[in-house]
Amino acid sequence: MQGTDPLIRTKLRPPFIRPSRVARPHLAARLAEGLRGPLSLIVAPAGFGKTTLAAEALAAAGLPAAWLSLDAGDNQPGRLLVYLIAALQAVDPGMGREADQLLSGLQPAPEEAVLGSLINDLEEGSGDLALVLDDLQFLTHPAAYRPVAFLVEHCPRRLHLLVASRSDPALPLARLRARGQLVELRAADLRFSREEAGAFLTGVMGLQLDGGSVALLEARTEGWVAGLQMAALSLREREDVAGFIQGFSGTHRHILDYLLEEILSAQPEQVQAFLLETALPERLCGGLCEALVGGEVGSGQAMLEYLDHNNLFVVGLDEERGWFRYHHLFADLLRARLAQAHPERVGELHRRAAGWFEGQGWIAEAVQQRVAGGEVESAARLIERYGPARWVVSDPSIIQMADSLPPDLLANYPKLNLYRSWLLISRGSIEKALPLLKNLEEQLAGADPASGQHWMSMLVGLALSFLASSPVAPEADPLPDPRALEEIPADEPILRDAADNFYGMTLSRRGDIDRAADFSARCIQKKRVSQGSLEDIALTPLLASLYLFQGRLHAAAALCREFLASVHLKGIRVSTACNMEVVLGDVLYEWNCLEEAEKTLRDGIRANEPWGNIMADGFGLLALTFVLQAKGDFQGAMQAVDQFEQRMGGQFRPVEMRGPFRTLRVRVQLASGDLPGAADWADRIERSEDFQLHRDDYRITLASIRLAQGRYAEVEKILSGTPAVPVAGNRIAWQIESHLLLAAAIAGQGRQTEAFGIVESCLVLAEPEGYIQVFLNAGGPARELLVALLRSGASGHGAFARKLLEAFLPPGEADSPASQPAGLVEPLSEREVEVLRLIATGKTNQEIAHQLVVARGTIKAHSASIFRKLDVSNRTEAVARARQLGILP
Amino acid sequence: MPEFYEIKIQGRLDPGWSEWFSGLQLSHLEGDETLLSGWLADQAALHGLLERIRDLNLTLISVNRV
Repeated sequence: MQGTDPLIRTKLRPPFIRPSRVARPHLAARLAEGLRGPLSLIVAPAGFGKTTLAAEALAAAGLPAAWLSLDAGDNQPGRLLVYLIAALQAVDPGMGREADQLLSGLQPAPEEAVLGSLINDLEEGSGDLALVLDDLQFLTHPAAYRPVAFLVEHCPRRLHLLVASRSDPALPLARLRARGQLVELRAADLRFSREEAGAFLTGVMGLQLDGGSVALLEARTEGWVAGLQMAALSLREREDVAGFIQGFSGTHRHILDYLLEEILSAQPEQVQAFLLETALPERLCGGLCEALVGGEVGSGQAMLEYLDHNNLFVVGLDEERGWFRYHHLFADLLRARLAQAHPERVGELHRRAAGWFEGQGWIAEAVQQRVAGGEVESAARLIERYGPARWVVSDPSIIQMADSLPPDLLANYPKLNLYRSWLLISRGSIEKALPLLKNLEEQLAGADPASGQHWMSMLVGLALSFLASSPVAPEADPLPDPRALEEIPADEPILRDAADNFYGMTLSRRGDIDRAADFSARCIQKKRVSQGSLEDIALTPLLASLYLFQGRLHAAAALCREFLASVHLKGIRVSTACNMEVVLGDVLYEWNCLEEAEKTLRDGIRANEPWGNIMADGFGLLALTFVLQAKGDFQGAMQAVDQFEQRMGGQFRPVEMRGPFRTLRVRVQLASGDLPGAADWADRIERSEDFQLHRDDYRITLASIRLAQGRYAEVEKILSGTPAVPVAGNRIAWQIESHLLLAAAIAGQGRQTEAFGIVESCLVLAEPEGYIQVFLNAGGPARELLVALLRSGASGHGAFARKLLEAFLPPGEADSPASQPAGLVEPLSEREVEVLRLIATGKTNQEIAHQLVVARGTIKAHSASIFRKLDVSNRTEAVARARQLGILP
Repeated sequence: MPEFYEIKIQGRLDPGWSEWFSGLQLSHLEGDETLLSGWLADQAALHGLLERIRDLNLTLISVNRV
């Protein structure tokens, strides 16, 4: 998305070097030498030709090169990573795919993982590669700096960094210097020698000067290139060359003061005015210049080309010569001069730039210009005008720009604050949304009923009810009649969506799932008549997740598939698609289609990145954890748990996530075979205060652990009584899971018939919607019960039970049950058998990990699982037992 | 906490630059130096000012809090 923005593309391209320049082969050669090592530096003040030299050195070194020009905006966290990846991809499109995914899948992105992945990609490729970071001085925020430091610290052999900066970068330079790993060029190296000054003034700038004049200019500018260039510009068209040089070298005035005035006065008046009036924006194109200066169409482009042609400090930013910028130093000088000479024009010029950007649809730039011009009021109006429309096409970034405006001002824009609240709530930033809503509530309470603002206060009320709602106090605050929602004006579709969502989600949180589903289905039905497309209706994801809560897998999958197919067919981007993918992934998991489920969930989590919807992240990471666990990838599952806990770590974690947050980690721990660890946790939890308050949240997890410990009576006790239905999550799966645990505990105490009855009730629950995974999760005990139940001939659901038993077999072995060793309660997976074979050859975990190209922790997890299934406690016993069972020859 | 600063740079800058340097007063010293003096709101303002001096390739001689 960002790669197509022409303004951003200009950051990723080396600027164009004029063919007519003073070649500096000795400097280029030193840098080219440096480009064989990890890091080269060009550190010098503005106007010393750092950028030009960097580009020249790249050409001399003959390396493929990624280029990134930094600016102050890159201090925004996370942004630098995006650009780094984009810059490297411009050289090698295959690079950074995983990094891209990691970056987009998480909230917030774990920087080191992204960088680690990027460095892996770099290490895997072949051929040397240069990465230039130009204008690194603009990175001032320590956090923004971290990726650069990391890259230097872990620099792959084929990568060669070239940094250009006005000040020494905050990197361990002394260490690199001591190791001889750093080549640096500083101001003293960059100063033009007398010969170079001569070549520049006569050759490049086309002046006729004698040796004495060159020497005077070189001495007065101290070889500073920008100074020489300004002097040369002042000299052009001047008859009294000797007089100028005399005056210049004789004056006490600062060189900048002197030369700027000289340059400007040497230009035709029209050019002078143009330079000053176009000094404010960071980047310029013809149209923008015309808006700033006035003049007919094409005059702006013509003038930019004139400046470019006459060496007047402009840099071309793209191949089409569409975008330019002034040299930074020159731009600063011009801005200072503008503020000095025409302070009254500054505001007007910002306004004109803003107007032009607005007309082009670059609203973000327009808002920036308004803010820079001190017109925060207009900025707020722009945001209120364009933000909602952008949001409708799934781009909330404009609304977000309001965050940088003064809160006092925003109080005058209640509608804008409503949008912001809705965005904050959907992202889970409740701590920021609550004060906004409270202020709105107060502010709107005093509003005149005739002012047409009643619908706003109703919406605020709905949002507050939603945030306060919990299954503990379902009747806390009666909801209005749903017909009241019709008050919301038709031209505010996003806020209507917000209201519908608050209404439905409040019902759902209060435990009234069926009524919530009913309400959502009816809203959708009505909108389909008027709007047609499912994907345009914001309530669809809520209905899909409510179907899932009700346990209606087929209905949920059908809704998701229709929605996603339509989005795919139209090739559009819809913010809510990620929620649908998450629900579909959840259904696929229950159906034991693990590969497809993993892909769908990862897609959904990634698609949610620009949006940051907390529910999509929460349910997505939860489901992903279970999918990876079911696949035996415990390391991956633990990573997902880390992400889940990080994302849900705040004080205002959604009620829906509170239960899973308590137990997710230990569930993976138990599944990976760490029973002692899980048992310790269970002992500790049972003594905790949290357990007394939230018993139901711990119920199933605790029962699973006690069952694995063989403490059957305890399991029965834990599961007795009627628990509160969980506020979120699949109710049918939850019921089956709980019943299977109970059945296993009862069977463990020898009450087979009673256990059969419970398993049979699970089959009744499971068959219509095709639940499979929940049985697989219950593992060996469930399998044994199913086998025994089938043998007894007492099941009315024999066909479904047999289908379940087949699912217990590892893929590829479904048709050869003979390969299952009779003595094993739970079969080894293919991967586990592979690991076991390697263990039998005497390899260490590290060696096995290396051979199978996975992390050592993964092998440890596999081993733990193998030991558990074989009921042994070490490697030697495992091999012996496997031979005995015929798994190993 | 605003503090009063005196910043010495090399070369003679016209007083017209005052606006560009956070409104500090510019005065010429002997030996081709310029003194920027005045109140700065905090450390961030000071650093911003020093960055401007760097960005214009001015030679910084001294910074004093008075």
